[in-house]
Amino acid sequence: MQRRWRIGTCALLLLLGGWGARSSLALDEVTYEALLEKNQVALGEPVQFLIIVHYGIGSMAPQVMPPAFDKFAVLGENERTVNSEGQEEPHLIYRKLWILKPTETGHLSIGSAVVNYQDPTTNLLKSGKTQVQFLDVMPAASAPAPAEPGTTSAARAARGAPGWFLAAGIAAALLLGLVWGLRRPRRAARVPAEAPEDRALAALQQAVDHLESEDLAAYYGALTRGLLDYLQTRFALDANVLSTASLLEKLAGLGFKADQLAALETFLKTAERAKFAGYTPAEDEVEALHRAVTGFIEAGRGLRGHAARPSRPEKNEEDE
Amino acid sequence: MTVNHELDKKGKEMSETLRKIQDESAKVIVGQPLMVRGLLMGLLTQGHILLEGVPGLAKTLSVMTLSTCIQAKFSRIQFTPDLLPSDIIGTSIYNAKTAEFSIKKGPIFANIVLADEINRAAAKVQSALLEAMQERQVTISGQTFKLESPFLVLATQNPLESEGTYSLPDAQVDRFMFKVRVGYPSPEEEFEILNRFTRGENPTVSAVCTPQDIEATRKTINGIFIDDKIKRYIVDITHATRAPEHFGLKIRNLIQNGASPRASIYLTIGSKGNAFMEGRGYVTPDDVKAVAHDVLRHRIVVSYEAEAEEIASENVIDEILKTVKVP
Repeated sequence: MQRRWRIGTCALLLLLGGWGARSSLALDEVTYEALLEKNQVALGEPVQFLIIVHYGIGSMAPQVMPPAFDKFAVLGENERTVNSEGQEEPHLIYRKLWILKPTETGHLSIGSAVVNYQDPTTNLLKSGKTQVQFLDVMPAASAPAPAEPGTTSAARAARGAPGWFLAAGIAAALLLGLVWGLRRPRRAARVPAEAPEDRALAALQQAVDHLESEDLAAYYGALTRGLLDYLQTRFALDANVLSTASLLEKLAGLGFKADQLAALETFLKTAERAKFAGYTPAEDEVEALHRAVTGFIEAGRGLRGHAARPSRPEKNEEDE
Repeated sequence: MTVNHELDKKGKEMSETLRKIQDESAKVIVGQPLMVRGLLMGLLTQGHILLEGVPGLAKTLSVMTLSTCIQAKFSRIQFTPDLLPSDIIGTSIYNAKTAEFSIKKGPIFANIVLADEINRAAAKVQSALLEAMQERQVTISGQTFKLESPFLVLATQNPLESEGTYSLPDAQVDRFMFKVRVGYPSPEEEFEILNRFTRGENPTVSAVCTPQDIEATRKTINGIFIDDKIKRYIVDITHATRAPEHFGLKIRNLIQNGASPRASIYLTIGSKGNAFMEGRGYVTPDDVKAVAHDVLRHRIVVSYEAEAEEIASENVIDEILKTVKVP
């Protein structure tokens, strides 16, 4: 059933001229899927096999390792990357296409393609696999009539080599595809993800609890963690690894102003003294430092950066 | 948990002396900030240093310059295959006139000893030097002599040539606090080297402090505060070189031998030295990270598998520093 839905979707999207287009995608999402143009062909009839990867503009271009096309002859292949259009957030669509010709009849499978991509949240390289695809290859005599130039398989079906039954089947698949397609935006149009700045400020607010127990080391530990986690997700910096000097240098390159960086440096150094040297800042200094760090995070809202968000589909299974 | 805030102030004052040494040596040494920093750290923390780099990178010049800046007694030993232990530590000589043996001290009796191309001498010579480094005393004809303080051995080795060399065993390499990699200068630095050293008159330096000042500085460094959280962080880093899987690191197959407890000791001492050089009276995780490569690179022995994949101990250290949780 899932396969029929997918075929219906493919057919629908092909008819709409946007095979593989996604309706909505956040910058921190990477999705990948394999699509077969048809699920039934005659022996020797070409069929298109497509891998589509959607990824945010800040991520590295994905690498696709194709499956072994054991029972197919590869007639040609092509790849290209295009900018998305009409999306909430800009992202890129990488498409790799193979034109395959089955070399034997039966229920054939095309194995998983391996997709290597950069995880937008952690920046690490990850690998994923696409779903296995299946194709029924009939002997040439029992297959649908060969394609005439300029006709699509849908059109051939409508003219009825196997009759109205096949046409009705395709129509049903198209309808299912339409339903599926309409369902996608609703799922994708989830509650807008919380901005990294808001999450960081919430973490900073939670740190204030430590002040009530007068544990300054824990308070500054929590503040620093909140700040560094924010820098890591928002600007894809290895903030927990970089030294303070290197971190400030990198932040200067991201567009933060000199006074904002100076305030951050003061905060980091005082926090270190409180954490590792038993330094007890005065009450007004504590407040000033808290203002400094929240002000710095607020300043990050207007800057271009990695803009990672918390939710990212682990795999493409949800598309099935 | 307390920190001596007076020490914080004192550290800032004393780091001025250090700055003077750096400024003075910069008159002669162009670039090589990591090597100069490593040399100063070794001097201040009583840690011996292994310098690794191809010939002609100012290793010897740097050490001589440093000695002049601090008015220290300097000696250079060129290690060769026919060198004997007595050529280093000294020997007793029979005086025919007085019919007595007199002790002739070797070049190891100096404040700063440069052991040039240490891997060119036989194992017994290397071990004679390394024993003196560890015990800071030598015995000649049954008489024990304490070595003067400060006592710092700087050994050099050329990583490219292996013919006619005797590699230092891991146990002996472990005695060096730092292994500092000396790289080529940048084109701009090399241009400046031409300007300074091709005029027929080489630049010179003058003394800016005494060995006593260095001793006083050392005492200050010993008093630098290090929190238990930092000590735990150091132990975690060292432990991660032996059991990386405990920290979620999948690099066990890349490590043949992890770092010894001496690594933890030197990470602690080195971090204190770094804190001092930054003008602080307490240690932060940044100090540990700053010295981690120099302390660990010769203590982690990578496996054949890692070598085959051209993965060096540097890469292993990077992974560990990225993974071990910072306090």
